[in-house]
Amino acid sequence: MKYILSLIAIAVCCLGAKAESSLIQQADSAYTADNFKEAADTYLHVIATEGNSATLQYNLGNCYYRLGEMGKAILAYERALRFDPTFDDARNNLEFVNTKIADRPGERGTFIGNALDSVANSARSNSWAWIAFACFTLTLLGVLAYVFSSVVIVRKVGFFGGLLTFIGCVCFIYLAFRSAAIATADDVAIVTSPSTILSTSPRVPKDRTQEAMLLHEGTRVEILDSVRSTTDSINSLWYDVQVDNAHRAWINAAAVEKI
Amino acid sequence: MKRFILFIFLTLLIGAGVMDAQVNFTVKPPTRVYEGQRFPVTFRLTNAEGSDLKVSQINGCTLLYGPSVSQSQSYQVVNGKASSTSAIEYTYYYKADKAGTFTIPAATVVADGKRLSTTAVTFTVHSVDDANTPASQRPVDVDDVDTQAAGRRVNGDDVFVRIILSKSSAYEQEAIGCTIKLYTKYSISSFLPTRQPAFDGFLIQEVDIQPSLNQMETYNGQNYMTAVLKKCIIFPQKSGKLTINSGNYDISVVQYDNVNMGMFQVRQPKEAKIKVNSNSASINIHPLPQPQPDGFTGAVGSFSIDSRLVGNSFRTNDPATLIYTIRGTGNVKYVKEPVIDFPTEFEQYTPKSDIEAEVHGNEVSGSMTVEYTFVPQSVGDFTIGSDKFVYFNPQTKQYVTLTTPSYPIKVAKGVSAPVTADQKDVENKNSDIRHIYLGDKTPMKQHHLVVLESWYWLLYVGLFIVTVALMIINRRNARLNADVTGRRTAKASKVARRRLKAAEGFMKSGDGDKFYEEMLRALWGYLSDKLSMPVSQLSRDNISATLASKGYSEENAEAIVSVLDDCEMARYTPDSSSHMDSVYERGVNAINKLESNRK
Repeated sequence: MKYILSLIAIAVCCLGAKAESSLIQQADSAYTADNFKEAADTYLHVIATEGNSATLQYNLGNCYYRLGEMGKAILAYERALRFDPTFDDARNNLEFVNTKIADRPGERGTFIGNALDSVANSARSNSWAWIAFACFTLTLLGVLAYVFSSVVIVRKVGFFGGLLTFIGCVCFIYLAFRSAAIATADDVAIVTSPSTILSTSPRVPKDRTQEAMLLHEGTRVEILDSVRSTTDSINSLWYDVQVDNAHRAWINAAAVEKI
Repeated sequence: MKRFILFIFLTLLIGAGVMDAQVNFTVKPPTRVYEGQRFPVTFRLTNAEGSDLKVSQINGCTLLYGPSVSQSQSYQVVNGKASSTSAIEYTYYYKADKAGTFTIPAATVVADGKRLSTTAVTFTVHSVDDANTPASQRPVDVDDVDTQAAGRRVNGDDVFVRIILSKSSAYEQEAIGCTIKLYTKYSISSFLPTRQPAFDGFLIQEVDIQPSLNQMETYNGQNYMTAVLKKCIIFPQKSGKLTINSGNYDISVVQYDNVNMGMFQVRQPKEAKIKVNSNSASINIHPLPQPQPDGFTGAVGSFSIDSRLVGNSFRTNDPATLIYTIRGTGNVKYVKEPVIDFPTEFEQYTPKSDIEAEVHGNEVSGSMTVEYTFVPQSVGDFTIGSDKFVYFNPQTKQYVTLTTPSYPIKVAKGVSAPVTADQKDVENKNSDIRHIYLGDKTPMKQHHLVVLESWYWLLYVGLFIVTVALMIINRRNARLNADVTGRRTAKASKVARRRLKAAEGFMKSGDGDKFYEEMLRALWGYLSDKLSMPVSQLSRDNISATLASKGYSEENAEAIVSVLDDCEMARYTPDSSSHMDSVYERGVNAINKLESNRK
């Protein structure tokens, strides 16, 4: 019996391994053999052909870090966290790489907003959604208990339980929306050029007074506005970005990549 | 007296400490020689006893006699340092037969068990015509005071300063020898630099020298007295064409004035002040080849490295030392201190570095010794990482990488362990990213967020509708359940009305007989249905009992029985029509009560 069980276990393992694309395995072994360039290219190919996932982006980020491309590494980790904000390895590596980049931005966002974001990011949006749905079901059950039962204690439990679970449901739906908003936000970008000078207006700075600040690869910026400007017959897109609460300027769209 | 004895004693002591001076063997060529004149050639052996002197004759000159040997000894104490010099001079006298250039061949002598040799030296024998031209028209000569007459213009080739570089092109950081030399045919009475040459773009390693006008040198075919003003090794710090600016000097040269004193002529020295500019030297500096390998910190030359761990057993809180030595030729003074990769569990002290550099010829050689002191803080097996030292060798034009070995270290528990707890929190070094995820990566084409999908919200709506529907159904049932008596009453009166419908019709038409008859028939029929007994078996007596046994209250039973009695009585009583209303009413009530009373 035990023998049969172990056979089944082995068979399941083999099936699982088979399910994994051979390209991904190739990339993994290339990374382990320190062929980071090859591994990164292979992961990119897999993402383009077979689809994306948190772990693929995470591995891609590791490759870029090893190749010294901090901006792209941070971009990949951020994308991994969009798929799964609870991905501990990705968050750890992102925080680590963020300590290696040139810029150290100041405080971002408000205290409450950041706290809500971190709560929302403690689970996936879908988890929040299903918890909210479970709460909603419990609320309805509570209402039914209150309506149908003639036993006082059941009616009380139904009433207050329903009230609590309804509040919970609303909160969880809010968190699900917040988490989904974080995961789909298209106004967050990472600086990918080694260094770029931000301008006070949406065009190339004409003199020193129009230079706002210097940003380096890997810095995260929030896009507030975008303007297409034409200077000297060069058409370029400019973003009004907020680096942190105290720094805001225009950056050439070519210097950043949206997450 | 006591003091005097001490002085003698000290003098003796110092005398005992006289150091061995250098032994050398040189030749002094004749100075100015004219055709037909005699001249001496002197070989000088210093600081040794010579034997087996071998001297070849000069071709083209006649040896008159020699050698005549003379000895000299000198002894001096400078700042408490005693030195003694002895010299033996072997002098040969020749006669110059004809004008031309001649060579004094190398001579050898055995001294201190070694055979020393001089170099071959050439000298010129001037023709007699030369001697007959007036001194003022002959070129200025170092040895001919007649030519150094006062009032004569001092030309640029009589007194000048040269900056001499050992190379015409070099790599960045490559050592270049630089000598600034004064060349003169006159004696110099004062020498004052007004502007020193500037070495822009170079690092300089100076060599201590005492400038002295004692070296004879032939430059462009003429003899000069020379003095080395400055000698240094320079290291270019940037690539391109670097120039050392010329220096300016104020020099007083000595010329001689012939003064006729009647009986004889006296030469009186006279100073002439001149200004001299040195040349400016340029050198092409090549940049170091790209790409520079990892770990290159600017060492150029030729080096060797050595590292050594002092001791072989290590204990916690016991200091230990790693000695790292870089030895070689090149910019050893400017080599960056290597950074050794120590485990973080080792407490490190600031490394102590010691640089020794000496100039040999046009190169600086020496060593840099760095002592790393570290104190192991934890018990365990550790590794001191190997270090890569990269330097550029300008001779082979290549980068050379040297590596030190890595040292595995086993740290035992030391005796001088601190009193505080041995336990330590596990420390996260946090110096690298985590490894890639190796599990199943399940690529998916799209990232679904259910909260943004409509079907998710339809689930809510569906569940809500189901609940509301349940509640509506329940509410209706509850309302009906709550009104159960009313419903029964309604039903009972319906029955009574239906039963007494005919009776009501007779009541309205005022037909008393027919009314009571119909009332009776209806009531009996109703009771028969109610009690499920045929009318034939019913009697006024058993109705009450049967109703009671079926659970109807006595009051209700009596009510219907009294209506039956009244009807019976009214049938046989005249003027019965007057009570029809009340009887009908009582009959309806009695039936209603019975219907309502039913369980």
